[in-house]
Amino acid sequence: MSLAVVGNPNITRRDIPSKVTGQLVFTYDINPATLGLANDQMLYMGMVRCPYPNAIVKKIDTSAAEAAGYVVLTEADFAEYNLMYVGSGQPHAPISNTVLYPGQVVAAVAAPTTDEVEDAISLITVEYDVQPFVLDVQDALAPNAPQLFPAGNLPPGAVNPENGMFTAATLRIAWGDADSAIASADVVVGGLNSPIELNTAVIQQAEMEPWCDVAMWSGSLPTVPGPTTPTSPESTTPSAPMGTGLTVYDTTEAPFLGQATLAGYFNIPLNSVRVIGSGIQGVGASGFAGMTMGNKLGNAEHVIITAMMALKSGAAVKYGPTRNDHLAITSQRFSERAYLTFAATSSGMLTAIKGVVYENSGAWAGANGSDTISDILNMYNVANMDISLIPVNTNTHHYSGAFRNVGESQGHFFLERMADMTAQKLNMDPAQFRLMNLHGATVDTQFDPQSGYRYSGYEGYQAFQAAMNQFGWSSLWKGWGKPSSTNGSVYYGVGFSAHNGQKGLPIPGSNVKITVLSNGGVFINSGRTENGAGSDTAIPIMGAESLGLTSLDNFNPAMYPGAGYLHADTALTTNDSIQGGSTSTRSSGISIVLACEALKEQWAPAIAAALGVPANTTLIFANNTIYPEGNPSNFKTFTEAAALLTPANGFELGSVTGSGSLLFNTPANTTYRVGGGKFVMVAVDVETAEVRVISAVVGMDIGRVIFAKGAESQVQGGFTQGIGEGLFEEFWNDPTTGRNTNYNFHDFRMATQMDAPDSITPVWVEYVDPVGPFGAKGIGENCSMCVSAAIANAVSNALGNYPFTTTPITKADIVTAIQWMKDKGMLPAQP
Amino acid sequence: MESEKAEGSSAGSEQEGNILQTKMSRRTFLKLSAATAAATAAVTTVGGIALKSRGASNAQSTAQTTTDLFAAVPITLTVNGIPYTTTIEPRDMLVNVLRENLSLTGTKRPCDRMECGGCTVLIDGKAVYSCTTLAMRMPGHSIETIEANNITVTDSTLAALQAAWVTYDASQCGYCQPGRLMAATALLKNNTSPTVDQIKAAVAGNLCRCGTYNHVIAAIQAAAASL
Repeated sequence: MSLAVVGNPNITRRDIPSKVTGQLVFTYDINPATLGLANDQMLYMGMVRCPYPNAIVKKIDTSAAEAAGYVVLTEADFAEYNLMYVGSGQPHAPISNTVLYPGQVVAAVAAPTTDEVEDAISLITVEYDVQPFVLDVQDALAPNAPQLFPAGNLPPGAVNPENGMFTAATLRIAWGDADSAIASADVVVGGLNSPIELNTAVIQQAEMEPWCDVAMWSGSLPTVPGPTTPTSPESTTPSAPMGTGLTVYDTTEAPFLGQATLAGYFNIPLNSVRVIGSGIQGVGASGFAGMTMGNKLGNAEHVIITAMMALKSGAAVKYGPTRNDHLAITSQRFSERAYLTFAATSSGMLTAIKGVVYENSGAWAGANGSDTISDILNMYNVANMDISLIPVNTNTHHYSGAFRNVGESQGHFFLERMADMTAQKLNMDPAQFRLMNLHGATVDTQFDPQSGYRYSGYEGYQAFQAAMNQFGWSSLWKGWGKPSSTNGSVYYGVGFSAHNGQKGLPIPGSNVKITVLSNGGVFINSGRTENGAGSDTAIPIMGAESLGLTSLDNFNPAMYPGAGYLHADTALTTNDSIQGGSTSTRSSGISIVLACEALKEQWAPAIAAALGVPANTTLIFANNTIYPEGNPSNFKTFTEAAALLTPANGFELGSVTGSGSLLFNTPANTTYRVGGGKFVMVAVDVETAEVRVISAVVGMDIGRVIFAKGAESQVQGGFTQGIGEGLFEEFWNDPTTGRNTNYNFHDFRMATQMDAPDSITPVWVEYVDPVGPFGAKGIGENCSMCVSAAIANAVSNALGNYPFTTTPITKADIVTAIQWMKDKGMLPAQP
Repeated sequence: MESEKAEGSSAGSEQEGNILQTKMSRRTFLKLSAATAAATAAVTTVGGIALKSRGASNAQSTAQTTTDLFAAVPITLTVNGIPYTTTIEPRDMLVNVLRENLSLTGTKRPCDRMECGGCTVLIDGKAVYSCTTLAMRMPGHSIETIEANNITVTDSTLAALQAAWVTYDASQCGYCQPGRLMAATALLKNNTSPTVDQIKAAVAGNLCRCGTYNHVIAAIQAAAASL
């Protein structure tokens, strides 16, 4: 396949000029002037949050705030409405007097300026009955533990009341006979009565634009302005009446889910709610998120609270939380604790995995850790498996919303530390151990062992090998107990992690429209948000390729008035599913290819007539020209062909539009996984305990690179994010008070510019995935998956193979490890 | 069962900066400081000195009085070479005045407490966090924001960096990048051939969650080479 735009390394991100000039107005940037409102038509909202992990509001005094003219919401304002859910968890009111985690909202208050919000909050007094609390998953299952819900701390129905056994609400998957295999194995890491305990920390999405909502109800307010650019004949007519009902500007990856949530909550028709998830006054891009770290799904409490405040106050209301406030509520990745045992033959064949994973689901959310289990099932060929997931409610937040990876980072950390420890016990090169045991090495093993579903396309094994070779593993790895090299007190360690994650599902119901204008401009209408992941560029790339264009110029409204890309507005755009789970490239990609085919079908007869060939002639779209198949010298340029789109030729709008929808027609019994490996070199100073990641090579089973610069940025950014997870990030509740201690960027430490490795090199394994557009898969989430494991293995190697079992590996952990290894005489000597 | 009383979002605890545990926010503190200054002023008749801008020679900043230091006052700021007159509270930080009063929302406010650098602007050519810069102190100073080149290119260093940012894909979600671009502009104005370590140091105060730090280094090197 000869491709002009797909994978072209010179294509730049379409929305980046509007970002580097400050012209793109993100949701958090909205102020009254942005929306054409007078200053007194918008109020700013703040939250009163309970500091205690478990409490009941005894009394709340809002009189002083109300006397000062501020508008206040408490639980009573939500009494007439139904309860809501976060994920699959327990129902609750958006503002509740029953507090189950520190930071839960007990009141909201709105004021005319952002400064006054803080004044208003200080006028509200709350009296609490402070209850005993529990933070730890195993503590929560102990007898006499504080109970969050009447049925206890497990999800509803998790335990059969008749026999006390776990049910399907928890999860246990087994095949073969793991117990016997472990009992008779040559080599066992862990043991039936002594499994290895591994722990991961809670990490925060912590995107740079805080979550934000601006809500307004129709009435005295002026009609909400729509996007100022771009427009096209196909997009200027709203599918729902504007200026009626509820309008919400939202930092969301799922505007249509948000619309449904709000309509359902307020019991109003769906088309009375308009959710706008895109930036305004800019080309394309959106109100935030940090690239596929996502922003949020449609069911977060504060969206409803903001809308309720707008209803009560009669004003437009902006909830633009402070950073501290935001870190109290943003998406997190829950902590997990695993007890695992691996068994293998003396030749290195893995024969059994047995264990249990406790997921800390936090207060209101349900189980989200099934991806951990899925990864444990899919990573290695194992004849005997017995793995359980136990989600436990505790007095912590742990809202598992939009954010790269759900249970995969945790699962990969468990798997890849265990695999290294098993290879060490076998005294075998850990890379050879992976090559011997990785699942999916050949076509006949590319299936999910639990469901039996086939992987759509998969070269994860080849991607692992490619990264291994590019990194130079065989020469850098010097054997167990030996750092790769040393320089004085600086010990260089190498390590890696394989990865195999379920990502890139083509989501049925992804709809895209593409229009060619008579001036040659091209316009895309897709409800997808652009949150930094690059779909604003990747989807036009696939559209351009389908139309035979050799650049993205035709999407540029400065060159072709009316051209562009309209995103994520439930009143104006198609419903293009959600921006998450690495699904965009496959989902919208399939849809836009279908849309282009539909467009060409309508356009072709006019072009054929102009070329003097029969109307049913097959036309080729390539090199900015259109010609009959086999006769490229008889052509019209794309611009000439576009000029045929006139009413005289039957194109009443002066344009032609094709629609494409990914229906439920993807192959049955198919699962979608992306594999590969991440190889890392670290430097550990055994005198100062400083750790620095020096370099990384990331092998990725990508299928086809669509947006080359963006794909490289995904790998770089995802890996850097993983450095934080591996070495710094831990959202921490003080066990003595239950309160959180690090709602800020100083104490919740992410990777900074100083932590960036000298190089992060992607290695693409390209082939044609049978389902993806142009053979592409989606890789965004896999970029951070397993980085923490690779770093842990490399740091372990630098120190002579200290058995790390937790994330993050902090400086304090390094100090402990160095001393432990010294005490045992195992720290490699300084040369 | 323990019974405790907490005011607002706070519980009377001690940790500075934690909204759930601190009674006094930074702005409330400033407001109270101003009140203290006013009370002192009533005795000493010095009046409002504590909050008076260093640029107070600007006649429009003299509207503050000793009796109501929270009263809105007119102020004139020179941003990107253009004088803007607006009305602010004395406690207002520059970032809020830029974003809310002047609608110059290119300057971002990701953390609002000097931890992320997303609010960085140039003041008299020097990179400064605008989230902790009192707007009252800014009359008489030259403020440059990410919007400096949006009408005509007045800062060729910033323009070179903006172009390099596009070529090297140094931004993904983009929310932190205006601040980083301003920090990089300050660097290149003083040093047109920085080393990698100097580049890292110059933008180390700018957090990015998307993590394209290596592309940022490449972009700054390319911009430096083009100047």
